[in-house]
Amino acid sequence: MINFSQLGFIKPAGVTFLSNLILWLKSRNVDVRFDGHTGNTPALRFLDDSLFFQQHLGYPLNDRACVRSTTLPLMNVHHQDSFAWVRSTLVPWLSSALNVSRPSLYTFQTCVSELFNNIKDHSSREIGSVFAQHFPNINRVGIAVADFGRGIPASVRSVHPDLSDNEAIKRAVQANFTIRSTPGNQGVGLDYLLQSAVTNNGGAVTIYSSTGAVLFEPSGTGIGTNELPHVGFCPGATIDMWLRTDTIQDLDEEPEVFEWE
Amino acid sequence: MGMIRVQEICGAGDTGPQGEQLYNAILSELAQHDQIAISFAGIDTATSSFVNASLFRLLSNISLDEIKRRVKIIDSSRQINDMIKRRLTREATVAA
Repeated sequence: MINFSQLGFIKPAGVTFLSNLILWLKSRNVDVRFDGHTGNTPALRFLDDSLFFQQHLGYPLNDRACVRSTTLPLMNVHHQDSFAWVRSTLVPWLSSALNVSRPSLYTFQTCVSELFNNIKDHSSREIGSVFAQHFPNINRVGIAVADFGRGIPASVRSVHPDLSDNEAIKRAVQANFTIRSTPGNQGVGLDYLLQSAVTNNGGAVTIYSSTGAVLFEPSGTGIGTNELPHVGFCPGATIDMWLRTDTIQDLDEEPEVFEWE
Repeated sequence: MGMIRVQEICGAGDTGPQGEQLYNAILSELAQHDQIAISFAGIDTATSSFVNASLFRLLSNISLDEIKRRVKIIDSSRQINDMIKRRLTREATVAA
């Protein structure tokens, strides 16, 4: 039973996390029921407008529930459809919300694609739950991607069995770290994400997996890490990108001349 | 000079398998020409998986200096350029 009566606020990562948890439980034949969700609180209206209840109950709580212009509603996207979804749905929505050209968002388009490639490489179920929310009053956009995999700590501990959950997450983001090297997978996708979202954009990324949760944020000229305490259990992994919208350059469509350094 | 159009070879620069298609095309073209151009016209982005499986993998066949001399990248976006440099130039620098 999931009780919503105490829910006061929910972030983008919370929407994908909760949705993913429900799907994960259902995949294990757990009878998942909701309680305390019939109130009229802002958090419940937000979830309803995000199509959360539509997805999990088959209907919205309120007939007037509709997707807000600042919201990209909750979606479950299969790896084989993910790149088309990123190009045809995520980037046009971001471009419109932030009033910047699509080329301005190519880096973040790639970051999300990297996450779907990670899901393909490390998860037995190649599906990611995605949700995004624009917060124009604080110049931020949150993009959260969650998967059903066995989780980062379990994967990392197959080669480093002594690492804690948080240590495993920190190891997983290091450039060139991978447990399954293939021509395509060289262990740089998460490093690219952090360099793009934290170092270059000035935003933050939080990775939740198993009982671990690590916040990566700007620190001096590099990336600082903070282990978040008491976050509970996260099946698979949830990646929470928190991007600054005021540092995104509006780029033109012209190709850039390539020169070897 | 040989010419490879990425869009014709693999459609997009999203995945490792697409990168492997490009890698095979590059090897074939380099066997026939001293210099080749790789056009990314119509391709907006390249993931690390794609570059790893294509251009980065070339480092197992020829040196970075030879890649720089024989391979020209054209019609590419800033993101694609950054990813290629990140994977090849900086990786070779670290390895050295």
